[in-house]
Amino acid sequence: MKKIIDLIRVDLISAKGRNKGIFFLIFLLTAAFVVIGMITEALFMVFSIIVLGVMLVPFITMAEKTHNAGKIFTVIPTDRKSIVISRFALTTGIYTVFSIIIFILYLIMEKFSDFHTSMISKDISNLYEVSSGFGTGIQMKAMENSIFWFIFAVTLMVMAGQHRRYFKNGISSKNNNLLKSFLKFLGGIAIFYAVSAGIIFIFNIDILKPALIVLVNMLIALATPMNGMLLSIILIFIGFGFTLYQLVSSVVDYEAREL
Amino acid sequence: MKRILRRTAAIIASAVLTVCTQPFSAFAEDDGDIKFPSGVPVSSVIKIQEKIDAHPYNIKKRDKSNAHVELIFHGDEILYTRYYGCTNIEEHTLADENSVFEWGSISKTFTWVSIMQLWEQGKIDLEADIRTYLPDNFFRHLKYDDPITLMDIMNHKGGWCEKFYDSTSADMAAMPSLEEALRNTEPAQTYRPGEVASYSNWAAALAGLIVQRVSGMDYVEYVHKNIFEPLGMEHTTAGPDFTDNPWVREQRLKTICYETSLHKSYIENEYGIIEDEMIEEYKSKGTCLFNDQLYPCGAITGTLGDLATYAQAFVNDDHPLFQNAETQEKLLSGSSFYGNTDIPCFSYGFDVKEYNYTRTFGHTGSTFGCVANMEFDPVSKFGVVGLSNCGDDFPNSLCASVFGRLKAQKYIGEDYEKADMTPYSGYYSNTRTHAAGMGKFILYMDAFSIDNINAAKVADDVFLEYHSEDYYDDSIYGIVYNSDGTRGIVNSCSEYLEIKHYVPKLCLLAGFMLCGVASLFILLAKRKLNKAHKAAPLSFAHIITAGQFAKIISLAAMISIVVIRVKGDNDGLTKTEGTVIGIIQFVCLAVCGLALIAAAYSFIAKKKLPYGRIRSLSCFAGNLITVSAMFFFEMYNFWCC
Repeated sequence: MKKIIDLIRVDLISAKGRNKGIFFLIFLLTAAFVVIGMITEALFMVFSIIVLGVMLVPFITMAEKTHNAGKIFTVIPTDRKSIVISRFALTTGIYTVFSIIIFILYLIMEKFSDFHTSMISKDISNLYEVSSGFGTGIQMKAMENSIFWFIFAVTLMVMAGQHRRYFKNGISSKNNNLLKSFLKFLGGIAIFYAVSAGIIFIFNIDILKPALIVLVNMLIALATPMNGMLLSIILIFIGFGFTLYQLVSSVVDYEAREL
Repeated sequence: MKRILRRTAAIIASAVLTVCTQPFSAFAEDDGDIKFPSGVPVSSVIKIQEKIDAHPYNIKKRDKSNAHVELIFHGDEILYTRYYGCTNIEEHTLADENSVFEWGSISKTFTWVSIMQLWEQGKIDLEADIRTYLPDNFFRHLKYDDPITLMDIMNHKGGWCEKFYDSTSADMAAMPSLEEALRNTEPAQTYRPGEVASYSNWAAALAGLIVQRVSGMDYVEYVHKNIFEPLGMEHTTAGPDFTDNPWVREQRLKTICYETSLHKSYIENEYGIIEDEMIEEYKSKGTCLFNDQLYPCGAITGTLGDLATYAQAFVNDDHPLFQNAETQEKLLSGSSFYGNTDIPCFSYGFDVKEYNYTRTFGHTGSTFGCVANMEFDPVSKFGVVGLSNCGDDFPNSLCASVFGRLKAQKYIGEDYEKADMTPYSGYYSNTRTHAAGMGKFILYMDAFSIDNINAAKVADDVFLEYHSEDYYDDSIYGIVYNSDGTRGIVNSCSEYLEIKHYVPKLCLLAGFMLCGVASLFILLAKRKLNKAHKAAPLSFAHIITAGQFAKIISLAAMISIVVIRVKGDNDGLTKTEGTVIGIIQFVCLAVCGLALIAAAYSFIAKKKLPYGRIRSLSCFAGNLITVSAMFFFEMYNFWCC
């Protein structure tokens, strides 16, 4: 355990010496979404965790390139497994703590949502109110909570994927910088939508409909109790479960890699 | 001159006074301007409808839309008939008086009428155990020994939920008898008879078999002789294959069924401005013909005219369907009520609908291709019937004009208050959903909470769910208490039953699904470790790995139930599909059980492995959740569901 804490400290020291401009860019983008969420719609705060999550892993790993800090691991007495675990623990820890703070802030702002110039919630609430009644179990609040933790889980998975790519292929000035990571993330979403649209267009939506119905019904059933917190717990579990899988795979990949 | 003027003025004044002080009804009858129960004059509704029909948009769309036919009657008189749209859009065949549609569940009312006919003849006792009228050992899946009466069946309180298995036959030659079909598709009895209202097609068909056995006639023959013939319904069939009326068969084959989808389109208007418009697109589903083995519950097919004739019989003082007027009165007097009030929620198999100023009886119907509606008010004698060949186009657009609406302000007064629903707080699920067998998990995916609804109190345990938007009608609901301590919320023949300890049960289901997904990643990680020769297997690793495969297969088998049902328009699985899935789940259950024991042994064994304890503990937990969920949700139970 001490070894892992020491390695986390090494990572933090290397990151400290990184370009201050990039640090401020992440800070500004994250803060901007928090402020937007505070003055408009509380749910917008979720964008801040996406920004932090997607940019955090490249920010820490790229420190190695800037200061040649990667070599430090060849001189300090440690094993590759501990390096992987420490890196995963550091980024996942920062991201999780930050997300919890944002969620608490979001809950506080939701309490004062009447003072907001509502951009989304009121319209959706009105729409929901129209179709509410027996048989429509999911509540607006439950939906918002679930969306928050869904985004948390997806970003966590993306972060785990970034880690794995790094431990598998190493760092490259060509393909690993902050802006590229962010654009890759957006590109990934675009490709996902394009492929989905392609499948729907080519094979006809009817093929996907039954599977979608199972998924949507289950999601709605899980989102209904406890204001969506049950579904949120499950999503968090999935996020961490996938991270654990990527951690194991990263250990194997990193140990097999020629440095 | 003055005298002439005074006399003229006096005559005019007296004439005005005479007219104005006449009773409203006399005035109305003189002008033929009677009013609907909604309070709207008949003539104005008809004029508006005619204007709508004559609107260029509707004329243009007429031969591009699905058929939507509706009719308003008052006693024997047909006040208005609207044949709109096509029975075949591709060939532009417009709907007319010869168009035939399936009436769906309206067919059940023919069974209920038959039962009441036999009751008034003294051949049937509504309170006797139905086993009296059935062959020995007819039921195989009864959970309760309590007697099941015909009253229970008419109120959908026989205790059966919806059938799980498909009851349609592709080939008429292979069609079993009604008795055989009922035996083959007997659902699990999940509720105590006489307590919980659970809409059941199977039970309605069972009542048809009772009609057959008590009358000594084939059910189709009975309906023809005792309902169609006395009413002169020549364009209707009751048999599953239309062979009892070749004309209807011929006409039905001409009717194509549709489903609609809405999409936005941009068009240029007459002023050259681009406007967006919602375009309704019709997708053909073909003829959607099906041979229902349980035909008494939904096989009747006919014209709009015949449906009107049938509905008119219930507002006819000559009671053409019954020997005695009392039988008709009893049929429409209500058989179950909201709380302790005299507001009926169901009446001997007929739906009861509450409006501000009136109460209607009738039934709705839906098949794979058609939808139908029948609603009448036996007091004012007004009625509306409608048919359509598109499931998304329910033919009840005239009901609001005729019967009005149900709004809390009018029904219980302007100063109603929001009722405290805390005593009824909990999670509820529709009793029609499967509550036993391999489809039991579906119940837990449909549940909802009533904590956030807006309700106003009507009487003790009776409330009105209201909407702030004027567009939506409010709904009346009653609370019922069952002998097992659960609560139910009743609306007409629908009941929503409280699920005790819903959240832990839902967690178990979610845990089962998560274990399936997690197993996939565990297997991938294992593969990775094996390739890198880094694997440090637990004791009995092969059994544990087989357990992980079993979890994935079991999850896939569970999902396949919903997939098959959705693909088959919710008509259920075939026996073969059910048996295969059940056996797969049995094997998975056995493998997961073995993996559970292996994980427990691994945990106890003193084999030193990296993270050995955590791994064996998580493996044990995963298998325990899976096995528990499979037992609780009866995922293997294909014989009684």
